[in-house]
Amino acid sequence: MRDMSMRSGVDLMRVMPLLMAALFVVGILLMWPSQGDVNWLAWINIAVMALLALLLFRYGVRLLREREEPAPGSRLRAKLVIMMVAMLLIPAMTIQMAASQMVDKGMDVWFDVRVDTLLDRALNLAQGFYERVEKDIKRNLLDYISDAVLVSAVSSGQGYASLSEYLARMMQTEGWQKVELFDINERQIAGVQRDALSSLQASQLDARARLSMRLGRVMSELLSNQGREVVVGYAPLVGPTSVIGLLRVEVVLPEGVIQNARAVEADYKRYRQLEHHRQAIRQSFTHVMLFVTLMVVLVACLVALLFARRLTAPVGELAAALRRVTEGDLEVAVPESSRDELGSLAHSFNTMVGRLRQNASAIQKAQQALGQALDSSRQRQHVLESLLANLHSGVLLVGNDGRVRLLNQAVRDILHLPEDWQPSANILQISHGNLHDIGAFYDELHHQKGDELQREFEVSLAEGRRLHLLVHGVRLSRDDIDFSGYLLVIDDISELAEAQRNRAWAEVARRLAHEIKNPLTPIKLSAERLQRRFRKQVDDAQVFDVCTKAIIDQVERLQRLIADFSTLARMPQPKMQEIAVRTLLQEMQELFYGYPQVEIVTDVDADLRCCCDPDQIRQVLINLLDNAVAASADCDQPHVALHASVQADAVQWHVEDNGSGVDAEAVEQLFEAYYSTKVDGSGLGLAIARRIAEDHGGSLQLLSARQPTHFCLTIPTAHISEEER
Amino acid sequence: MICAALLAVLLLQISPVAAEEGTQMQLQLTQDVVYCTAKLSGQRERLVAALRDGMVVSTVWRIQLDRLRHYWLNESVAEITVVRRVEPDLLAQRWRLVDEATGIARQSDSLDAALHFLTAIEHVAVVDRALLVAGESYRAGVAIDLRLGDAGEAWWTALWRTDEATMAQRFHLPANSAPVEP
Repeated sequence: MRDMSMRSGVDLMRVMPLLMAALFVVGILLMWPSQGDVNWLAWINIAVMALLALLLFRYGVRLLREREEPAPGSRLRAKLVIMMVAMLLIPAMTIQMAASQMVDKGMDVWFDVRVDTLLDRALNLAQGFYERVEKDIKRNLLDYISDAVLVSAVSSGQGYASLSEYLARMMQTEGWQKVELFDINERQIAGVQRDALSSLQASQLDARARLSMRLGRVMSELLSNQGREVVVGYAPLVGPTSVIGLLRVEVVLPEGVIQNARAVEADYKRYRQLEHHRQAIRQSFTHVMLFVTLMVVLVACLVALLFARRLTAPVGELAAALRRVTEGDLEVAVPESSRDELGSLAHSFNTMVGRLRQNASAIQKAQQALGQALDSSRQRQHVLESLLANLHSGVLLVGNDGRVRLLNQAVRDILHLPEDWQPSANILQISHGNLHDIGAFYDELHHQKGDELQREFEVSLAEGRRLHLLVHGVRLSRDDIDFSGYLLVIDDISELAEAQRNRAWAEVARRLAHEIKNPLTPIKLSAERLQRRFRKQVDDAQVFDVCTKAIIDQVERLQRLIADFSTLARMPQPKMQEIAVRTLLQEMQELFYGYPQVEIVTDVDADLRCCCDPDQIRQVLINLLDNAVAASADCDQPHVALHASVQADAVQWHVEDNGSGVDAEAVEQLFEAYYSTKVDGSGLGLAIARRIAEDHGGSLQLLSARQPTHFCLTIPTAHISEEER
Repeated sequence: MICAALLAVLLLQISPVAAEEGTQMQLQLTQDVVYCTAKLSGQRERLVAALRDGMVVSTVWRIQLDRLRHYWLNESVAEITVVRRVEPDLLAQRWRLVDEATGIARQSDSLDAALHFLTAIEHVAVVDRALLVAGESYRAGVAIDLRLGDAGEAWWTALWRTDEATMAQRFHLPANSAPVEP
C-alpha cells in the first residue's frame, strides 16, 4: 500500500512539469492579444510563458521517457525545484487574479456613471456659457443690421469723429470690447476699442466675415489671441437693395471663466480618452502584474535551482558513491566539506566504506584459499571420475543406509543393470532376480564385523549367459569425513575362470594322454595277437572273440578319447585361407551322401567366400551333423538340414534337426568340456567346436533347443588376427 | 483616338479597388503625375464618438508604389505619407482640421466636414510620371492607420504598425503609353 502511494506520488511528480507547462499554455491562450492590440508587454509575457512552458514540457517529456536510473540526486533536485516553483506559482497566481479583480473594480469606480454625468454637465455648462455669449452677440447685432446711422455712414460717408462717437456709445451700451465698421469693399470706415486707442491699422476680414456679408446673415466665431479668447460677431449692414457693409464686434471672454471652462474641457477630454482606453489600461495593469509575477517565478526558479543544487549535491555525491559501492568499488570516498548533518553523513559513509574495504579484503583472502581448496577438490573429483569411468571393474559405492551413492559405467556394462539402478536407490530393494547375490553380498558385508569381504559367484544374464563374478567389498569409515558406507568392486572373471578350467583340463588331457595312451597300443596289439594265436585253442571261440573284440573296441575307444583329449589340449592355431562356402557345403553333401535324411543346401552364391581353416570348420560341421543325425535317429521321419547364409560381415552355418532336442538343464552346460548326454560320448565335441569357432573370431550358439534343434556357427568373412581376437 | 483608347485601357487597369468594406482607392495617371484618391469607410460611428468625446483623431495614409519584379523583391518607386488630424474644440463645438503634410489648418463647424477630412484623400500626388518605366508592372498600395488620442507616440510604435485598412492595386504601364489626361 505504501509502495503504491509512493509510486503514485512519483508519477504525479513526473507529470507535474507537464501540468505546469499546460497551465502556461492556457495562460498564453488567455493572454493572447486581440487584433490591433499593440502591447509589447503582452508579447514579452507570452514569450516568457512560452519559454517556461517549453522548458517544462521538455523536462516533463524527459522525465516520462526516462527509463534508466537518472544521475544521483537529480530526481531529488527536480522534486525540490518543482515543489518550490509550485509553492510560489500558486500564491502568485492567486495574487495575480486578485489584483486583476481589484483593477476591474477600481476601473469601475474610476469610470463611475456619476463622474461621467458630472463631467457631461460641467462641459454642458461651459458650452452653455459660450453659446450664450454668441447668442447675445448675435441678438444684439440683429438690432444694428438696418441701423440708419451705420447705413448712412457706409453709403454716404459721415464724419469719422461723430461715427466713432456713435460706435463708442454702441460699445458702451452693448458691453462690447471692440466695434469696427467696414464697407462692402472690406475697407474699415471706423472703429473703437475699449480701454485702448483704436488700431491705426485696419483689421483684415476673414472668411467668416466675408461669408456673413455674402449670406447676409449674422454670424459669430471664437478666436484665440495671446491667451485670450474673443467672440467675434459679424452683422451685415443691409441697404435698400443689398448688403452694403459689415459691423464687426468683439467680446473678450472673462479670463477666469475661460480658464475654468477650458479646464473643464481638458478634464473632460482626458477622462473620455481614459475611458476610451479603459480596456487597454486594464490590460496594461494585467500585463505589468503578470510580467512582475513571471519575473518573480523565473527568479524563484533560478534561486530554487541553485538552492536545490547546493542542497542535493552532497546527497548526489553520496548516492553516486553508494552506487559505486554497490557495484563493488570500495575505493570511493565522498568529500566531507560541510559540518552539518550532510557532512556527518559523509563522514559516517567514509567510515563504513573503510570497514567494508577491510572486510572485503579479508573475505577475498578467504575466498582465494577456499578457491584453491575447491580447485584441488575438483581436480581430485575429476581424477576420481575419470578413473571410475575408465575402470573395467565395476565400482559400486553404497551408503551406510543401503542407498547407492555412486556406480560407474563398468558395473552397468558387466551386470546389464536395469533402469532402477540409480543413485539414491536402496541396493537391497533393487537387487532382485539374477542380481540377488549382489544384495546378499552387501547385506553380509554390512552385518559382518570385518571391514573387507570377497566372494565369487555366478550370475545369469537375461540372454542366458552366465557371468563369473569376483566381488570385493570394503567398509569405508573414517573419523575425519562425514561419510560411512561400503565400496563394492565387481570384476567379471568369466573368461579367466574359463581359461583356468581349460588349462586344467588340458593339463589333465596331457597327463592322461601321456599315462594312458602309451599302454593302450600294446594292450590292443596283445589282444589282437591273442585273438590270432589262441583263438583255435580256446573251447569257446565265440566267447573268446567277443571278449577280445571288446578289449580291442574299448582300447580303440580309449585311444579316440585320448586323441580328443590331445586335440583339446593341443588345439592347433587355425590356418586361415579363403574358401568358397559352396565348396564346403558340397564336401559335406558328398560326405553325408549315404544319409538320406541329411539335406544340405548348396544353392548359395558361388562368389560367397569366407576366411577360415577349412579343416577345422569341416570338423565342426561334421560334429554338428553327426550329433544331429544321432539325435534324430529315433524319429519316424528324421530330418537334418544344413544351410548357409550371409549376415553382415559373417557367414552363418545353420544345422537343424527334428530330434528329441536338448533338455533345459543341459542347455547351460552343453558347450562345457566333458559334458555329454550320450553314453559313449567324450563330452568334448561341442567344446572343441565352440573353441574352433572362437579361435576364428566367431561363435557357436544353440538358437533353438528343440523342434527344431538349431545350432548356428558364425564365422567372419574377413580374417581376424590373433591379436585382434 | 489612340489616346482615348489608351486612357480607357489605363482606367480599366487601374479601376477603383475595394479592399475592405466600403474602402476604396483609385489611381489617376496624368501626363506628369500619378495621383491617388482613397476613401476609408465603416469608421463613422467610432470617429464620431471619439470626436465628440474630445479626442484628437488622426489618420495616417501611407501610399506606396512598387515596381513588380519577378524572382526578386519589388522595387520601391515612391512612398509618401499623408497625416490628417482633427482637434475638437468642445466648448465652441468646432473642429480644427490640420493637414500635417502641408501644415495648413482650418476651422470647421461641421462634423461631417471633419469626418470627410479624416476619411478621404483626394487627388494626392504620389510620384512623377517620369519615374515610371513603360512596359513595367506596378503595385500601388494604401495603408491607413487610425489613431485616437494625442499623436505623441513612442518611437517603437513605428516598428509595429497596425493598419486599420490596406488597399492594393496592380497596373501595367504599356510600352507605348502616351500621356494621359487626368
